[in-house]
Amino acid sequence: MKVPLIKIGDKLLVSIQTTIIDSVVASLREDITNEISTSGVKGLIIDLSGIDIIDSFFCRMINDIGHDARILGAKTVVVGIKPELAITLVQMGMEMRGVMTSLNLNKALEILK
Amino acid sequence: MKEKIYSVLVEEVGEFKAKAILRGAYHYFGIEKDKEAEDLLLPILERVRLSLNGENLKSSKVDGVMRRLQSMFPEVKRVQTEEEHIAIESEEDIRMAQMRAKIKAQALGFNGLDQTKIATTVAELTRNIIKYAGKGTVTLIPLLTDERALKIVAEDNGPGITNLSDVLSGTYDSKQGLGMGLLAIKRLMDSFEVETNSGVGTRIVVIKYIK
Ligand SMILES: Nc1ncnc2c1ncn2[C@@H]1O[C@H](COP(=O)(O)OP(=O)(O)OP(=O)(O)O)[C@@H](O)[C@H]1O
Ligand SMILES: [Mg+2]
Repeated sequence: MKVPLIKIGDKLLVSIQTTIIDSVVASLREDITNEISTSGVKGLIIDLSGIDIIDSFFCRMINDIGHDARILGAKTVVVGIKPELAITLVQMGMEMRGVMTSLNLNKALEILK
Repeated sequence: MKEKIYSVLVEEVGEFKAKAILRGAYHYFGIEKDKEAEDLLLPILERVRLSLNGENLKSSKVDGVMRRLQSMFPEVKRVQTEEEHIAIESEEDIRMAQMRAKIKAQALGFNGLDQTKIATTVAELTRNIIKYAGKGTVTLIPLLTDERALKIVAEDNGPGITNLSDVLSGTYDSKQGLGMGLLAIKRLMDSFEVETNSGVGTRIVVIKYIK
């Protein structure tokens, strides 16, 4: 199971379509950091529209990826979080630190312009 | 089973999308053959429903397709109000359990937001089981009294939670995680109880009522 990375101009799009298991997290982070450092993209967009549950493990993975990207000089925008997931995260007292969120891909591209 | 679902989907959304949706649903649970899929009929149908929603179809259309699919499988009609026992032994079992919890909550009449809270709770409980105890079980128990509710029991024979009061007061700094999971569950559920003994194991019982 590999998560595809797609380059759009000087941005990198990562579309996570299914729950990630532990062993995939490390390789996903590595793939993303490699791609950012070799191609020098300035923006990372993480599409979560296919995700129907966000637990603390998943939230931490997103935070870590955002942190990696920031160190390498790229901003991260998370798109497509379903409203019920956003509400649940807030009630759980969790937040996606250091990453911006936006409603859809177009808005994300605008933010990263 | 795959063929049956496929034939309906082809009629409704065309061959191309039908194939992608069905492949996606089977792939989600890491299954190839029909034999392994039988137990997972409901979760698979739930994934199909999510994919159909993702296709920007009208929700009335999605409901129609789902009704067609469900009418083909008599086992789905059996009311999903039985107790369900799920063994948690590997990471794959985490998403299986969260999916089953979501389906059960849906069948019992919880709204979408509460279904999400229940599935998230099961994800936290089962990940803790895998991470700290290695293996355990989760039981989903519908309570069908005046106040309908879902009770979830997570049990393991692991090392026990040695610093429970720190964890629940939020002063605990987890080495392996954010140390947020149990606190989060407490906030998401209506009732939350922990019984834990060092070296013996942990039993966590939560209840969510239907509003
Ligand atoms: N089933 C269990 N058996 C033994 N110890 C557990 C169990 N569940 C939780 N713990 C202990 O309680 C602590 C707090 O658990 P909690 O789920 O709140 O946070 P976490 O798992 O550390 O991090 P997070 O859930 O945010 O990823 C854990 O770090 C672990 O030490
Ligand atoms: Mg945890």
